[in-house]
Amino acid sequence: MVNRSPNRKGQAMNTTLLKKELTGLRFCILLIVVLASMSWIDNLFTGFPDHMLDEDVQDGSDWLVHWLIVGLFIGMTSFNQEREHQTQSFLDGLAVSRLSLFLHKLVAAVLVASLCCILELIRFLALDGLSATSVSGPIKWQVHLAECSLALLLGITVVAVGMVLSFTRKWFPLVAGLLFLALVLLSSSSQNWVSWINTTALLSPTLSDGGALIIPWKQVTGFSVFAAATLLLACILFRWRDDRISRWLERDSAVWGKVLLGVIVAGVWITAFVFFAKSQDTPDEDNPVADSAGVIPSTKPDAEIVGFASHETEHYDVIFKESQRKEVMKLVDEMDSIYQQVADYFQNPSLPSGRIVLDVASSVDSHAAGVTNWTKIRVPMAKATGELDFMQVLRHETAHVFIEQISDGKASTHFNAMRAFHEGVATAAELSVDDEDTDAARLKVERWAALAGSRGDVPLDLLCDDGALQEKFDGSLVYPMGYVFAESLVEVGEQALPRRVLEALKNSPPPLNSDSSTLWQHVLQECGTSRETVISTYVERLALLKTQEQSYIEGFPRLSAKVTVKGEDIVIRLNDFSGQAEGVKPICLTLKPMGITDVNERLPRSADGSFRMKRSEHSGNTLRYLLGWTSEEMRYPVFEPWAEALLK
Amino acid sequence: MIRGLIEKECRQHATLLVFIALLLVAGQLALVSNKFLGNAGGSSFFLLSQLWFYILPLAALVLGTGLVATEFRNKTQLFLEGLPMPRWMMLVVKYLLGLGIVSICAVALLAGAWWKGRDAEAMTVNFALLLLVKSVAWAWFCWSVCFAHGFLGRYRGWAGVTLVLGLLLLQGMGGVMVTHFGPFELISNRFAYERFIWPVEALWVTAALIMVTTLAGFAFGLVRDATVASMMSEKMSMREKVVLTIMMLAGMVAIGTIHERSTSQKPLNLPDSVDFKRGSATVSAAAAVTTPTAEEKLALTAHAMATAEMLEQVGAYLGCESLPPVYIIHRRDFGTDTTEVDDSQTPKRVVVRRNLLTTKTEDVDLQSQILAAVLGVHQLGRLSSDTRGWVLEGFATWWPVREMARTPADFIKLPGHEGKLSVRTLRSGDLETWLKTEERMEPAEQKTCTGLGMIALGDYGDEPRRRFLGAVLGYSAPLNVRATLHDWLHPVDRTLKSTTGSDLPALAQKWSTALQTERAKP
Repeated sequence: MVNRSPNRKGQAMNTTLLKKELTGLRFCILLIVVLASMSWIDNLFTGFPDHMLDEDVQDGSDWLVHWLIVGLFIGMTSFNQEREHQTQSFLDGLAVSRLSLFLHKLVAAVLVASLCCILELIRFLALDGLSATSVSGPIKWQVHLAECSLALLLGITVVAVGMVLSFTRKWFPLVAGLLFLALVLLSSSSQNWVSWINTTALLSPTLSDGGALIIPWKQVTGFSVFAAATLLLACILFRWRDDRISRWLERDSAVWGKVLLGVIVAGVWITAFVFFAKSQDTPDEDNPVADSAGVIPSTKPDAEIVGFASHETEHYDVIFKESQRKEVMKLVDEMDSIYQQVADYFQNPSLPSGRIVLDVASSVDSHAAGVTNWTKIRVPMAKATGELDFMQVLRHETAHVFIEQISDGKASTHFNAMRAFHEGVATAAELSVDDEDTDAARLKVERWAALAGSRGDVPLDLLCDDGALQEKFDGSLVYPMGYVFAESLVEVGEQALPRRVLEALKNSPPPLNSDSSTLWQHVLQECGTSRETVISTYVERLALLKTQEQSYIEGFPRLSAKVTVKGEDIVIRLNDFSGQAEGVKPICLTLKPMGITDVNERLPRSADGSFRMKRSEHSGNTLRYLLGWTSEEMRYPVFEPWAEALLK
Repeated sequence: MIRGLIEKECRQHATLLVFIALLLVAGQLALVSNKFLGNAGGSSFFLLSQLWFYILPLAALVLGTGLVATEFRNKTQLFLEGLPMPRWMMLVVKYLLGLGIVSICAVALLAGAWWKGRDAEAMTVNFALLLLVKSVAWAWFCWSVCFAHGFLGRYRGWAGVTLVLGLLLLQGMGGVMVTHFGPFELISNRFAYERFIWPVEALWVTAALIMVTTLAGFAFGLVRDATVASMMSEKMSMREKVVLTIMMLAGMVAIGTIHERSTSQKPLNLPDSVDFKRGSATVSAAAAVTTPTAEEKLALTAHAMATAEMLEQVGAYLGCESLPPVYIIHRRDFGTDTTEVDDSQTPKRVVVRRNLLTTKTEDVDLQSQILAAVLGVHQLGRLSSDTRGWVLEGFATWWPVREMARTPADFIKLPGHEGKLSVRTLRSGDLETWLKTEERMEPAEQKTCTGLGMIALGDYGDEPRRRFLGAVLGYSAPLNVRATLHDWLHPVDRTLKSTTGSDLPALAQKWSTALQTERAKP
């Protein structure tokens, strides 16, 4: 008979318990292996595994999605399996404490979660190793290791949340709603607490210029504390849970109880959603860039609303506030001629019958003077600087309606490739009238194009790929450069080409998933011309404009800056420049995350000439910013390409 | 009896109905309170279309689960089957009740949206009818799909995920405009603005889909005395879960992989181009101007022909069955030496832009650039590697001048190769780490160096050199791991050994000798 010491018995028990927990998580392990295999299969069958240096690395959002599937599953399975198989009472009969059981579950969950990170680390290193060349430098194993370790920290946090949620049972909707509400409230608070648990910032370790690894310690602390607190809560819940609590948690309440719970849950979720929706809003104040450029300053305060009215012209249904009646009535006679001017630009295409809805009372985004959705135009009268300005905007927006109608909506379906065309052709139609004011407006746009072109090469392929364009330049470039593009089209295929492009989009649409250069190749071929001819004409026109406006361009010297972190502030200090024209002043924009999207935010200029923002308002180790010039004379500020600086 | 059934459903699912109502109200509140969305759409009906798209299907899904799936899972339908009424009647009651609920919700929310935006919408009878018909048709479609979906029992989750992912894949990868198909067209981005045109085709398609899904639902519920639905509502085993998950994931990977490999690009068709097809080579030349001059047309023909002939000879020499097509674009605005080369890998093709009026057909530099691009694209950029880079560059430099430069001494007399070389000795290690080696040289020097390498290779004889170059450059690489395996199984040193009988150190020695060829004194 073998006489085992208590230590050995304890070890055997530990091993058995751990095995049991790992067996319980076998489906999670399988899921992890299948997901990892998918990545490998993708790497092997759609590219060369020996040409993937620094490619295909998961970013923060990938990891978050990954853990929300796998991590929550692991966390919830850990405790739920005991309930489903009714094995808790058996475990309670063993000579181990609840704490020990919890620790075994935790260790098993962490082991399974680390399997994800280990497989991903192996993939990173294998791909980097296979792809290494004699000039690629050493493999950045520290970065990969740090990234996978930080991802594991995120994973453990999600697992812990999953464990706590697994105790909530029918209270899950309420708990989840409260958590969501708390997250929304915290993120909208001025203290910016959520930056402590910002996953993007956590999962972006970088190497400094000197090769030192920069770890986001703030987020590491935040996640560690959060994970520890959540695990502690899970442990307490597990230790305290006995049959009495389980029964209480799972008991069937009376109808009034259910209804009450339902109402509370609904109330929490509705509140959370309303707060969430509000938190996604762009700031109420007018866009500082637009103001500074003098594009659409709000000169007329809204009069008291005393009701709405509408007026029909041949081509428009005008909706306005009663308080605007006098101003609108002065313009209605001219509106149809605006429509006709746009129709002339497109050579009088046949459009579906029906009037355009022109809403002059509703608001639009602060940076826009007007917005068009299919056949509805919004041009807030309060934003226009005068009748002429209003009519110009109306002409521009009416051109958008024509573009959408002629292409049967295809121009916006292929938004990424067509945005420059959309805005460029609308601007060209807006400026197609021959009069003194329009000539002046045309000159402004041409100068804008020449200036923008002098800040960096904007090839047509880039212009017609809105996503890539906005990565490199300010997105408003589509107006001046799009105008040059539209004029080039007219030069190549005469006045009919813009319309024929739209008809080709409608009658012979390119494949939906084609990239922008393929789309333009397809469309222009359908029109009997070639993308190459248009590219050549566009380049020539832009070069000519730059030559013509050389002296004007010289009044806007190139800008660059040095970025440093001083105490609580990020300081962007402009490098020396000289020769700027009178009345122009430098501005600086950065990207401010607004939930689902990022918006440009203008930074205030301090007395010493630098631009400053709070370090706590910016998560991550790099800062992207735009430097530019603005003046009262310009239609819109002109910017340098996006710059990026490492925050040390 | 029917009234009793309806009362039973209402009583049983009262909480569910309250939840659905709250879900829709919460959704609408969330959308309405977002100024950004409001400004983007400019219409309360726009927000409604978002609600239709995202929330209404969810509400219908919850309703379908409550009215159908739960009934079968809890086996309470057995009690209903005991009642003195046919089974189909029970299903009809459930179907109509669900339809009534989603339709009432749709109409109520539509009315709410109209009330909110009554002052900013130019309402007409036609517009109101359009909105009503589209909303009800969409609600009906959602309900009929969720009704049928409810009978799938334990496969509901997988079927739902597969359906949604399938539609997303079709739209995102397959190039199918799902958002403008049938029921989706009804609530597309025109929903809030189109006031005149009736989407007749979309309505017919929606009607057909409603009919198909409704029939499918009834078929599931009635076939074999509803035993199929009962069986499917049983709990799923672990093995089944695993198999289904793996099948779904594998399917997604397969679709993604196939999509990435597929190309949907139209061939490049240059108007008024001059086209030549010679052996494995295809060359088109066109001017990037609307009306080329006679002189430009002549230049186009001459360049296209010369390039086609060169590529034909290269193809034959290297044993290539086909080479990527070359498109030569004449650019008037380019300076004399400006060349732009676009080497697209999917599909394989090379676009060269140059001012052909200022370029001779026998321009060695242009020929060299075209060759490097064509052979590079032929192997999808894999030749620009440590072990093969020198072969590609050397061949592209040597081939256009091969007749004039049979010896190193002849070669270094050629224009562009007269300069001093900073690298006079090469070791086999330098040829295995070519990317680093070439960093030590200026671009012009790299050409001279690699060109001399090709001449040194000729010391083994013309035929062994051809065999070696054909083995390294003639392979057409597929875009997957097979190309990697090919290169691992056919490393350059082994290929050199098998084709010339020599090895890299010996070649490096010959090459070094060529590099040390004395330049003529000025």
